[in-house]
Amino acid sequence: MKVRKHTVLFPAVCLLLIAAVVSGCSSKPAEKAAQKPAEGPIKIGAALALTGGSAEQGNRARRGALLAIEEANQAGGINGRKIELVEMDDRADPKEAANVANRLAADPSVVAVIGHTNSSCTLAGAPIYNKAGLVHITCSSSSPKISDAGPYTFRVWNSDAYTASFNVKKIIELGYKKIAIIYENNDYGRGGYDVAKKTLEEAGIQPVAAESYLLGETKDFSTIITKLKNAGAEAIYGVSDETEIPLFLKQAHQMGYKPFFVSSGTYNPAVIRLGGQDVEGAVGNALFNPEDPKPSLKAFFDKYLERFKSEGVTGTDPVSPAAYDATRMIIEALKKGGTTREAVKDYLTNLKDFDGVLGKLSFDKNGDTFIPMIYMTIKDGKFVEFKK
Amino acid sequence: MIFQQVINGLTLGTTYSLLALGYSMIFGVLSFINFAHGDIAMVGAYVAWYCFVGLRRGFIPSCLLAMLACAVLGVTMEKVGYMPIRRAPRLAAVIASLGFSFILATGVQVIWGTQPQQMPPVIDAVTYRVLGVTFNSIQMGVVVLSIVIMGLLQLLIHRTKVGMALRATAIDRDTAGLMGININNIISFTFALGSVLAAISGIMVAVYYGALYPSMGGVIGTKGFTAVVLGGAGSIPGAMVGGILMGLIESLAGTFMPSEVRDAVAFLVLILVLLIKPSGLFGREMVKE
Repeated sequence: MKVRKHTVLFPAVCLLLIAAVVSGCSSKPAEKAAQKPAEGPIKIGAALALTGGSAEQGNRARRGALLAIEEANQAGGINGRKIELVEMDDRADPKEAANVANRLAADPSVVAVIGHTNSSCTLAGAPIYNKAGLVHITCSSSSPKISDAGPYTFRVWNSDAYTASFNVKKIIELGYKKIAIIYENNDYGRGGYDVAKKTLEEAGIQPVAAESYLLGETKDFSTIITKLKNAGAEAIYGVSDETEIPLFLKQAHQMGYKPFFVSSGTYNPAVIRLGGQDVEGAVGNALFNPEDPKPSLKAFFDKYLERFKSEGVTGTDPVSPAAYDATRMIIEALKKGGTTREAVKDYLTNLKDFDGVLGKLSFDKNGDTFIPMIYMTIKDGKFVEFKK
Repeated sequence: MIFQQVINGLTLGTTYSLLALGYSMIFGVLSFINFAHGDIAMVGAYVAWYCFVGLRRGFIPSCLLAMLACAVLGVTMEKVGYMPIRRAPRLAAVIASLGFSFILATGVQVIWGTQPQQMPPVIDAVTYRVLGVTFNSIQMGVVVLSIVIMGLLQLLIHRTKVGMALRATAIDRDTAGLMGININNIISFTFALGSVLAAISGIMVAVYYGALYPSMGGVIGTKGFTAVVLGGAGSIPGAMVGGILMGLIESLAGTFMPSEVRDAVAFLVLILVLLIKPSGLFGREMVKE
């Protein structure tokens, strides 16, 4: 036994010693870097899903941020210092997002982060950024939980809560009194349902029915449709994804039921591809009409498409201008507020009416923005602006 | 409203039944649940969709090709995966079938992508209204086709020589072999027939809902499997009744309770049936082994 103890103890002591020496050594350069980051580039992290299931969204954000930084560098950078985008891939995996967040937080020359792409990744990274006092702005996460993620968590993207109330208000405005809600039985659906119900109640309307289903599992909506039909619902708000909207509408029409349908998931080409004739007239929210963007957006997309033609980018999307605006906010904070993490946070917290390409953007006390939205509807197999 | 929900439940239930038949046949002969069965249905739907939409063939030839492809797939699975371990404990075959399920689902994802695909309407959905109950031609087609196929299957099993051999193999494989029945051929035939049924139900589900996606095999497979257990594994009428009951329970539970619980109720009924009659509604008591 004695011998054994020694064999365990000795390497353990050795390891401890080595660890102490190594950490002692490594802490010195880190301190140096923290003390004088005044030379060399200022770094902005891009912690996004660059590969994996959400790669399309992640790369849109990356390109938007890159364009903003290249423009700022051409205009002379921050007091002569260049800005550098540090690209990190979280692969849309929350575990990897936490890794990426730790690495960015540990690099003192990183003053702010654009990220993450998915809500789950943003929520996984948020505690790390908030502990490190590092601002991060997400440009595509919509979970209402992000509002409460911390003072260093910002968002240039609309929360699902805001989207739900925006959509429901249109139904109320059009004069419908018998309104039903269908929702996915998950965080996204229940969150949207709560807000939709509250919005209706504020207008003095009780939903005539509220039915839930399982995302990706429920294919048969006939039971739900029969209930909605019997409740006399004339308009339906769906907290739904693009896969279920066509199924629901198709089956409703087959049963001779044609309510006015508004959903947060309508504005997605897959809805038209899967739904065909049956999704005609469905309404949903969008940030802009790609056929007719406002001048600031048109100017942005002209630059954007020209710059990223070589990457095979041909169409417009809502994420790249959001990332572009978010990055420009950080750059303005660096210019006017200062080049420390804390200065960026203080500047963004008090930012009001920022002149973004998406519109005038302000952060509320939760670090959320409300990007102006429009309504889109499907007409003759195409999305057109819904003006009624 | 109740009549409407009964119609809804019947349509839903017949799609479960058709899949349950294939499960049940394979269980009857080999005494194990082939978990890849739902995925064969999914492959069938994809092959039919690809011929119909991608290669622009007629709908009926597309279906026939899908059925043939699934029959070949089923027999290949049996020869490659199940035959070598036929004498091993049953758990081995169940695990192998789970493996096949993964292979098929990911294979389809690699070939056709993870995105859901649209199945264009094959016949126009004409809606009929009778006494306040609405139903349409697709629903009727699904129900009628299912009943015809079930009837044909009953005839095949009870009125033909192959059916007799099949029943003999199900009752006692070794004795049937001694009586001159070629067991390997019968088992291959069972897999081929079961897979053809799976292809039909996969195509029917895809046409009825107008969409198909790689994970649909797992979703419809679970319901089909539950229908088998409810009706009694190995019993053909049991599979039919089990499927229709599942559909009806789901539909009616969704009517009188919040729609969240409707799946839970279907499984609750299953648990109750198993507690009272462990072999299922129509199942024969399993005394052997």
